[in-house]
Amino acid sequence: MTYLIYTLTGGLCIYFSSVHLLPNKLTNARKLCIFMYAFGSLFLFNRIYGQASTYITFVGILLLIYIFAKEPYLNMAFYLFGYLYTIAFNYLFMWAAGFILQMDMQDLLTHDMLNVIFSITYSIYCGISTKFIGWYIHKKLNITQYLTNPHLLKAIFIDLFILVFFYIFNFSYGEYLGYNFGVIALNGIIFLLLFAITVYLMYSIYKATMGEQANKHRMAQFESLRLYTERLETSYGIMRKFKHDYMNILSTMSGYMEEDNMDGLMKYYGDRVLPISHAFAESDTKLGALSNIKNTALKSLLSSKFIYSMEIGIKAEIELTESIETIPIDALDLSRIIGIFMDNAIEAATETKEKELIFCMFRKDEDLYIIIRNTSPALDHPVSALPGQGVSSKGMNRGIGLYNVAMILGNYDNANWNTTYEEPYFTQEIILKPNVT
Amino acid sequence: MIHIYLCEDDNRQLTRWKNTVEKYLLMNSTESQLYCAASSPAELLSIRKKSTVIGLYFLDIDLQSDKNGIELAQEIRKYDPRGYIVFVTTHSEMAVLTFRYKVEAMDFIVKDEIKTLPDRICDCIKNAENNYKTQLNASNRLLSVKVDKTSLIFDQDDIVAITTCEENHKIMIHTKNGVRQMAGSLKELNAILNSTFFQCSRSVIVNLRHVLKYSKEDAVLTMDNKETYNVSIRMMGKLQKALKQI
Repeated sequence: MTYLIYTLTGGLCIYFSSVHLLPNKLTNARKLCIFMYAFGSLFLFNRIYGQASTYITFVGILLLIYIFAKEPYLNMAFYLFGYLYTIAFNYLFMWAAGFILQMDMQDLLTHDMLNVIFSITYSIYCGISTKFIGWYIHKKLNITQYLTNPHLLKAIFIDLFILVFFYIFNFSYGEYLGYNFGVIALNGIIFLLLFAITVYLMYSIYKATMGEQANKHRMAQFESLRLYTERLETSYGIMRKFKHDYMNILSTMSGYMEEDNMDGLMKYYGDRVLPISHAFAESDTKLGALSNIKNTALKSLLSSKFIYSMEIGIKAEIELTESIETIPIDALDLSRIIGIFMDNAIEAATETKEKELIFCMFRKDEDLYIIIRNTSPALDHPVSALPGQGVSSKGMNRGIGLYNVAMILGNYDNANWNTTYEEPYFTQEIILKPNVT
Repeated sequence: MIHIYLCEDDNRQLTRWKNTVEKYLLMNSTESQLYCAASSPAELLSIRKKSTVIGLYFLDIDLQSDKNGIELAQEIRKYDPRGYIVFVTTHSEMAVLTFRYKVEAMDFIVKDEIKTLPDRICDCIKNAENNYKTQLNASNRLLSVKVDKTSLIFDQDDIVAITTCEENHKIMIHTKNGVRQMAGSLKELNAILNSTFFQCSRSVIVNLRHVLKYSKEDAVLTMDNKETYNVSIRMMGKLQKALKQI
């Protein structure tokens, strides 16, 4: 009985630490499979091989995750991290229990009642804390989007793998030698230290990647602002040329008037003056409207997307009739959303004959409206299914964009998101209410 | 009956518009009338405030005044929320989506294309009149939902389903060609919806008129916009009955 409970809680701990921290969500059947394996292997082999049986459990779960998860290395690394976490805290708890009860480790481990209570408490603690850590890492820090470099991932994985390997070796060998307080304390200290170093390592990698990302972002922003300025200078050049021409045009017209030559004037107006005004509307002067956006990140994003879309022959329009100074949600979040919408819009518009794209941003009452409309081929899915994970008109492993938008906007109560498709226009609307703080 | 309002600061152009509209009214048998031709926003507003009849407004954007055309339109909306607004403006001032969303403008006319201007004005009057007639017929089907200060108006026949949002306390209105999010609860809406709506599970209300297929074995409703909804076991019997009545 004690053995059953002991292995059951052990299995639970391993299950929690593996499943709760994974960045990819598993189906319930797969979760059950992992749990059954953890429990089963512990139950069957612990009696025979002692702590060395952990190797069987550990390697088996690694294989299971490798098979189940979409990004195996990332998920295995998280599993290893969770494993280290549970073991390190197991030692810490054991040591604390020994300290409080004034008992030797050997007594504690052989005392059935206490052992059961300890295992149950610890597995509950494990379940709750790993759930919380998983939530914090994935939902708050959103760490996985920075860990995209495959070499880095493999390095982290190998580092953690070796650590865990030694951990298990250490305690299975320790069991063989027999526990005493000194060994446990020493083990505990070594494990905690190693764990702390690993956490520190992960943290500095996180910081470094973040810094790198920020730097890359700044460079991209700088580059697109430079392009934007270049375009503005070109259109200013056109304006200056027109200013020059316009004096000539006026004097020619007044010449016709002095001669009282109405027919000549009409002909001149129709042939020379009208075309100029049309040419104006078509030129780069459209980009000038972006000066109404005061947020640099957003401005640079929009200018780069528009310059690109004009270059590939999309009829892009920007409607910014008033200046946009404050944005009620985080500007980077909004930039990400608009970036995703614009990429989708450009992609869809190129597939149509009309190739139209309109971006528009304005305030109505207190609310900020952002609307992106483009011509689009007919959709395969109902509009409401588009933000689902993996739903895409572009085949497998795509369609993460709108899912991300849904995740970001889920954090904001003051944002409404409307999507419509009315042949041939696809429209994304974001309505942001002012923050009530 | 529709009252037609004009606002343009350039008197020469205003006269042109006025002549076009008068000619149209003379040639066509209609109840509409030219009610006001103003050269400043203040003038138009003072006349508008006195009337209760629905209006059709032709507005210039750059009015050389304290208000531009968009601001004037917003002001008009306070007195005439269902009126028809048409912006007449130069190509460079055109902002189609902004006009449409901000003041629900009905149409836009580009000033620069002088030749087609009279035809475009006449088209707008025709459209407004037709729309006005259909609105009168449809008014008993409309669902008006209050969102903060403003209210959204839907035709109940267009709504396919109403669902709750997973992440936050919002509801989503699914129409034939899109989804809209808004604050609110299903309970509130259920009270004002008409009898073609049916709550098939805790988080879904469907419009039975848009049901394409009901598969009893999997308890799934397929709608005519390709969406599918699960039916809770508790509701299956009731649904059967409701579907028969439609």
